[in-house]
Amino acid sequence: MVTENDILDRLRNIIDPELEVNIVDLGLIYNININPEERRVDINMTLTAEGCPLSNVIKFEVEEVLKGLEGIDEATVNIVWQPKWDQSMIKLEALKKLSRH
Amino acid sequence: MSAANTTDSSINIALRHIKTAAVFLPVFFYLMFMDAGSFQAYFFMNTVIISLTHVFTLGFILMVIMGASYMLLPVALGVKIAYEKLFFPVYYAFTGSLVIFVTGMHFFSPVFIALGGSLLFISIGTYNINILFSLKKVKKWDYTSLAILFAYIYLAIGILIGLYMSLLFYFNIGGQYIFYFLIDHIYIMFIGFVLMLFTGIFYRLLPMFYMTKTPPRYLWLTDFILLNAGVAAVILSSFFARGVLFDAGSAFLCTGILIFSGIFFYLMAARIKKKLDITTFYLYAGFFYLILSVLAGILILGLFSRTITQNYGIYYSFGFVGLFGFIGMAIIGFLHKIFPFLISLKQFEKMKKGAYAGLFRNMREKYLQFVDLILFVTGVLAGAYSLLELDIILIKITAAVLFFASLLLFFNLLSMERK
Repeated sequence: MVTENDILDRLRNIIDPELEVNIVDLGLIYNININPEERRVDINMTLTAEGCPLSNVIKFEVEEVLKGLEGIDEATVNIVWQPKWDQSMIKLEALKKLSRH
Repeated sequence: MSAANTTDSSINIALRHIKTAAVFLPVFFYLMFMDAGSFQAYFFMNTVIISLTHVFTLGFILMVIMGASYMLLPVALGVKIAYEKLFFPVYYAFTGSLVIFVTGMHFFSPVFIALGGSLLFISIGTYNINILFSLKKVKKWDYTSLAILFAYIYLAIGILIGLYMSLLFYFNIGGQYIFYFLIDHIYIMFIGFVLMLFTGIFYRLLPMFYMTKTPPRYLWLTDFILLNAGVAAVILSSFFARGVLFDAGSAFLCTGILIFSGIFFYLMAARIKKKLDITTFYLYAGFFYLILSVLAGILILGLFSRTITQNYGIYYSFGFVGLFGFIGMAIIGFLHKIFPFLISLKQFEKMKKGAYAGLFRNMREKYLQFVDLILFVTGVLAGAYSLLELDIILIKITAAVLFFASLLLFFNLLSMERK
């Protein structure tokens, strides 16, 4: 059965187009709930800005990645705004990447 | 705020406006080339120059602002635009009335000037009311929402003065105050409307694009008060034959603009995303020119009026640096960010898969984009110098270079959409 780490690895392929850092290392994934019996996964995630015009696009990309996982038939992505995302949620490696010219 | 606030129609109308503006920009430089000789006359009641400036200010600046606002206001403020059904009628009415107005002004036809001015007032006024109605639903009144509200109030006042002046050409009424009205119109539109709008939008977009902090409250509040006090003092001074009130207003505005520039450099210096993209170069160039235009403004205020009258090229140079050097650079810079987003969102609505990859392709640095940047940035300096000297040959050469640069921009935008 697919694990949380498998999901995070796959989601690392989705890059924030503006910041050029993947959505996992940006700290946008809040919560992953895997239900093996129903073969479904629910994710709570956020975006760097509440009004991000790409929210539908990113949500679609995440859903597509989840549906492509073995053992998953159904995937739901909830965009949430609590807790509010801030820059302290970015992983150290990603911060280093952002700081490079 | 949800993504639902950005709708299909707001994406399509934003793209339509931006593409139309990208057509008006080369048209402006073509006309600047053709009408270069008109710069030899003083700007007041110089109808060819009035026509030319409106091709740029309405055809390019306001066209982009209108289109981008349909997309960015929901993003920045978390509200839906009140009446989406007005998008396309307003667009067609605005474009048509602009053509009538600038044609009337260029060939000095009072009927066309008055007709174009009235239609512009109706179309821009309708847009303005639509935005003001949308602002009623704003929940959080912070700097951005306040600045946007004030900007659109100034726009309403500015177009009202514009309507009055255009009717003057036909009805020939109240002409003795027209110079004051003209100066008020310029200050209200470019500081009250455009600069106020830019300050509000910048403090939202910079954190989004470059992960900057937001400006300290005491700083933006001081800036907000200074800019509004400056515009108010300038308008009020019209009733007292300018004098000290005008000088005080100008001093407030200069200080306010310098504080705004300082905030920009402060935020950008401490940004988390350090990578310099094409937009950052345009923005830095834009703020350099903004400070330059403030210094030119101080020079104009400080010089004896006789010196100015003998060399009114300083007005043209000042206006060109402020309008094209700052506003033009900032808009072109942000277009390199906003346009690829709009294209991807449009593609996403059609086919879903692949839109995301397309976004990366369009945002990738391109060699020609940097050639265009160099042409635009050096073009501003060349334009400032040639207009200051009123050297017609140099003005024509500058206009030709900037015409070429604006064509490159146009084809760059088109190429993004076709990929």
